[in-house]
Parts: sequence; structure tokens; C-alpha cells
Amino acid sequence: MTLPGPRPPLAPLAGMTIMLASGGFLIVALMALAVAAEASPLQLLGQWFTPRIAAVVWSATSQALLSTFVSLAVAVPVSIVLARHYQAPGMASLRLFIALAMVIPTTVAASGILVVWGRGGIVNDGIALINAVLPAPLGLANLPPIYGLGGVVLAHVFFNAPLMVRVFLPQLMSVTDNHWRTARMLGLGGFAQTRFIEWPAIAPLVIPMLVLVFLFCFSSFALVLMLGGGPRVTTLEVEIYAAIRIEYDFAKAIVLTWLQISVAAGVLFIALPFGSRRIPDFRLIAQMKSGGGYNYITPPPSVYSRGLVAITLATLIVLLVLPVAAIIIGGFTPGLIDVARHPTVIAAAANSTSIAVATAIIVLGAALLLAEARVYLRTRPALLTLLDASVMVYLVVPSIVMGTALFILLRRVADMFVLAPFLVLAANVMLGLPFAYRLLVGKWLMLRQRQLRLVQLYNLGGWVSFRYLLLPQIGRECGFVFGLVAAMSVGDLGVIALFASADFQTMPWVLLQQASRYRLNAAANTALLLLLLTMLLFAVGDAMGRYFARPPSALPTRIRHA
Amino acid sequence: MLEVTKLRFAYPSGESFAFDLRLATKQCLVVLGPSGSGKSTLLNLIAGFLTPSAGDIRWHKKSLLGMPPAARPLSMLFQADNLFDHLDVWTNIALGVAPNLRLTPNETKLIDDVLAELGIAEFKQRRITTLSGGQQQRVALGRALVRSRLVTEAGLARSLLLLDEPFSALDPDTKAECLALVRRLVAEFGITAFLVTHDPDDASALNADIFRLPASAN
Repeated sequence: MTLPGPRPPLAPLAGMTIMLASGGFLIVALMALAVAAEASPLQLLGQWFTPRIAAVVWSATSQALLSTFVSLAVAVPVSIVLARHYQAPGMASLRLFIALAMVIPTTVAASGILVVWGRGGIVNDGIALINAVLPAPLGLANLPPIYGLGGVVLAHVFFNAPLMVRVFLPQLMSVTDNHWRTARMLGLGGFAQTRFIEWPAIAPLVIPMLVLVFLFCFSSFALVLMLGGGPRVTTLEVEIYAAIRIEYDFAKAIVLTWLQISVAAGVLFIALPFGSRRIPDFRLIAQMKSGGGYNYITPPPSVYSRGLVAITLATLIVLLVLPVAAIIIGGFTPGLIDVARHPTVIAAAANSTSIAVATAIIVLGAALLLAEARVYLRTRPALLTLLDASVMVYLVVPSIVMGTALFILLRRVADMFVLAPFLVLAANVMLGLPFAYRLLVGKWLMLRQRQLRLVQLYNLGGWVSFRYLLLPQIGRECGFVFGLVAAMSVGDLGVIALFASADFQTMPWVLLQQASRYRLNAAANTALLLLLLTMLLFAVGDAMGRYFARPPSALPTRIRHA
Repeated sequence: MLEVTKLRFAYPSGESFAFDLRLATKQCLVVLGPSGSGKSTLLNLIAGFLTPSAGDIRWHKKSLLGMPPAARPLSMLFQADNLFDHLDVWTNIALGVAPNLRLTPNETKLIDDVLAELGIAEFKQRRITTLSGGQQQRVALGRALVRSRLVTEAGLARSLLLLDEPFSALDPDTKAECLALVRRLVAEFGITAFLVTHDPDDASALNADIFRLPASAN
């Protein structure tokens, strides 16, 4: 069914154009990589699959496997404890913290991990203090160096355990009241409750989440760059960056890019039969914030239940809260003002903010237009699949890969360093679009479906009906998406690493420079500024959402001119 | 004898209820009342999911107050979600015997006997999701029957059966079969049944006494 009327369907046409651009860009980029390689992928592989590259693949795979399973081991008990003690004091803040972990910039988390676990970090200082008191033979050994597998896994768990919790927790909360009452009536204890109710509730999502988190860790860039300790732990992304920025070896970069794409595609292909099609939605943070009238019944106290709570809270505090607290406390020093006044930092903050705001505006507009295109294409399943795929594919194509393609496409025809801000913008748009589309499309379709007959009767459409009929209802979500995308974008250290120069830097890049020169104090100051900037953008999005969603009675009456 | 004396309960919203009734063992009582009259509240109080502010609930002269639900001598059936979907029939019933699934040979035999008795032995290894709504409630009744043969830690037989409209979503024929089964449980197995419903015909199907709750029992 299409909408009749004289009004040309400009919005859906624009949405379809974006779909073609988005999907087309990927194809062009992959072709550019193939053409630039001047050899077939197989030839390249034969030529380049040296023991060194094999070692890179092995390093990336092993750290990703370890990170993924540690994340799962943390996320399952955390989800269970958060669900069981949903109403307990402090739990709402803990949920909010876990929900917000996603928008904490990778470079900030990595700095926090350095401040806590690094050589001159809090834990080693504590050990030194204890050793000063203890007699020598009882002295504690210092921590092993954080750079390497330990640091990378800690950082990956910091981001991916909360991601899993955000998916598992709603599953647990959706177990029905009657099941809980039956469990109480039958006398299921803490462990039996996990075995017969909690684990079965999350089990269907475990494999999809393992696949997703493995892909994220396998194609990790910023965290591995900051904490991998050079060659000790590396990923293909980091090697691509090194090939382009340090070795100027484009052929190698292309091979690595192909390898990255093949592995990601391979993992998805292998995992598809196990249900990775059900890769879960990225639930709204708002959902995690709400108190809810849940009736999750706490099992009778037992050693298992108490131990679970104790271990879980300790793990959460050590792994998640401590690094962030370290940045907030450790960054709040007199040096903060000097760092904040430094021209490089000011310029970087201005660059980061303008790119983030531009990204958020473009992504929000594009996501809404795509959703509108989806309304028009709803009778054409093939086109719908194409529409979804052309956007969601960027969830698994790392931005470094797209950056490399752009670099190779444009390096002969333009000055890369003039184009740099636009390339970073483009990469951030691709990064944010899948999230924005996923978060908005459901509600948009629902609203449009519900209004469809009214729209047809009165031939409504265009800007006015968007502003007055739709925006008040989807404004909160739009504001949330704006804040989320702006926050993700301001903290992203990805493509910028390929194009940064003395003339063009962003906050995460400045932070990386400080951390890699072991200027941990300045890094903590910068990290705090970046964290504040992130939270500010997020809060701006939330405020925008409130503004858009204000009741229509408060709107001007110019509507009759439309 | 189940005695509910001067039982009072108020929800945080301010809605309050008072109950006073008694039920002889091996009998069946049907509680009727419009929605909002506190039918489910009464069952949840007896089962121990809610705690009354005053009054007492006694079974064989022994107060049940203060006991957690699992320690009370009863089983309860809801309209849905009585069974765990991802487990098979046998395991669902075994959970009603021992939550750690460690059963004695006698208990294993008891489950098999009850399954045979109720004519659902062939479902033993079927997953709950493959059963119809009526079959599911039969399994849940089977679990209650198994439990009624066993005693709580305090030495009370779990022979009280609380039914919170468990058959109201079933089609009329299936519902009649389930009600007949409840009647059999009372007549042949010494179970004391307490059915909450909004359908007066259920009482005649069960040949049971009726207890009417007023619209607002303040």
C-alpha cells in the first residue's frame, strides 16, 4: 500500500538515496581496496600470509576469545544479582552506571585502567605503602606490567560485560510472576533458581552475544593501541594503522583489511546457524534507569546467594567503578587548569565537539529518513532486507577498514590532511547510524502505522506533520539518539588515528599522545575533560528530547497556515 | 480444617481486605467474587506470597504464618506459567519433590505412578512447549498430587491445593476434564481444594460449596 496524494514522497526518496549511498559506499570501498591491491585476494594472501601476519591473527584471536569469555563470566552473575536485588538501595545507580559504560570514551577507560593498574598507579602505590610497613620478607610483589594481555582484557571486559548485562537483564526481568511464585512454592533455593530459571532465561542470547563481543574485541583498535604494549597484543586494526602511519606500506594495509573482513564475515557465517541472527537490540538506557514494578523474588538466603552478591559487587567495583573513579578523582588536580588552557587541548576539544554535533545531526536525520523509507517499502521484503543490511553492516565493518579504503581511494586525488575532518565525520556517521536506526525504526514504524489512515484521509505530510504529529511522540528517542551518537562520536579514537596531524587533532587523539608518552597526570586531566564533554553532550541530547517531546498544547498555532 | 480467621491485608495503594472462612479437609470450596474483591489476594495470603497485617491462617490447628511458601503444606496453580517451558514433564514434576533433583527410588516411583494414574505417562519426556494448555494444567495437577503424597519439614502432608483460576483460559471441554480431575483428586486422594473463579458453573462441576466474596471487602 502506498500513500496517495499530490505530495511527492520526498522524505522516503531521500531515505532510499541514503540507503543506496550507505550500501554503495561499502561496495565502492571494498572494490577500491581490491583494485588498489593490484592482485587477487588469493595471490595477496599467498604473498603476504607470513608467520608475522599469522602471529597477528593469532594474537587478535586469542585476546578476543579470552576477553569474550571473561566478559561472559562477569556479565552472567552481575545480571542475576542486579535482577534479584532490583529494588535494593544503590542498585538503580549501579544499573545507570552500567548503562552509561557504553558512552565512556575508550581512551578514557584505558587511561583509568592505567591510573589504577599501571606502574605508577593506585594499586602499586598501595602495595608500596604496605611494603613500607611490613617487614621485608613479607613484602608484596608489584603487579606485572599492565601493557599486554592483562590490560587489553581488563579494558574489553570494561565495555563488553556491561553490554551483555544490558541484554541479559531485561531477559531476566521478563520471567513471569507466576514462575517466581511457583519457584517459591516448590522451594527452589538460590542455586536451583539460577539453574532452572535464570540461566534458561538468558541462555538463548548467550551465543549471539559471544559472537558479537568476539567481533568487537577482535576488531578492537583504541584499547589495544593504548594497552596492548606494542607487539605483545595486537589486532589487525592496529597493524593496519601501523602499516599506513608508520611503515607507509599500503599493500600490507590492504591485505590486513581483507583479512579483517574475511574473519568477521567468517565468524558471522559460522555463527548464523546458532542464532546470531537474533543479535539483540541495543536496549534503551532509559529502560535501565526506570525503577519498574518488577516482582523478581529474592531467593532465601544461602551461601551461594550471598557469595554471588559479594563476588559480583567486588568484581563490578574493581573492574568498572574503580577506573572511572580514578579518572574523576585523579583528573581533578591543579594541573587540570593548565591542561584545559593548553591551545592544543582547546583546538582538539573544538574539533571533537563540532564533529560530534555534526555527526549527531546527520545521523539523526539519516536514521529518520531511512525509517520513513522503510514505511514506503514495507510491502517489498527484499528491499527491506537490503535497507536494513545497508545500515547494519557497519556494525561489523570496523571504521579503520573504511578509513583505509577512503585513504586509498582519495590519497592520489586530494590532500588527505585537508580532508581529514570530513573523513572523520564520515566514519563517525557510519559508526553511529546502525545504533540510531536500530533505536528509532521500531517506534517510527509504529507511529506511522497508527497514523496511516488519518494521514491518508487528510493528506497530511511534510514538515508540519513531522514537527507536530510525530516529533512530540518520538522526541525523547530522538534526543537520546542525538546524545548517544554525539557522545560515541566525541570519544571515538578510530579513523582519526589515520588522519591526525599537528593541524588537526581530536580529544581522544591528544589523550592517546599523552598516555603513550607516559604523561599519566596530564592524561588523567585530559581524560576527565573528555569524560565531562561526553556527559555534557549526552545531557544535551536528553534535554533536546524533553524539548521536542513537550505537549502539543504548548506549540504555536501557526499550524493552520500549513 | 483450614481456618482463616480475621485475616487483614492492605496493599500499599490503600486497598484493604478482610477474610474469615473455614474449609473442612478433603472438601472442595469454590470462592466466587467480582474482580477486585480480593480472590487472588486471599490465595496469595494462604500460600505465603503476601503477609497479613492481622489475623491467622491455621491448618490442622497449626498456624501457617511465618512459614515461607515452600514450607507450607500446599501446592498452588495459576492460570499460566506453572511449569518451566524448557524442561520436560518428568523434570517439572521432580522439581516439586526436590529442587536439587536428587530423588530417592521411592520418589521416582511415586512420580511414575502418578503419571500413569493421570494417563499422561507417555508425555513423560515431552517438553512443556509441545503440550496443549489443558495438558500443561494436567501436568501441574500431577505435580500437586505427587507433592500431596509427601510431607513438609514440619511433618505436614502437602494436601492443600490452591487453584487461582487455572482453567479459565481453556476451552469448555478441556476445562470440564480438568475440573473432573480436581474432583477426583479430592474424592480419591484426600486433597483439599480451594478454587478461585468467576464462573459459578465451576462449583456445580466440582459439586462444591460456594463462598462469595463481597464486591469490596473493607
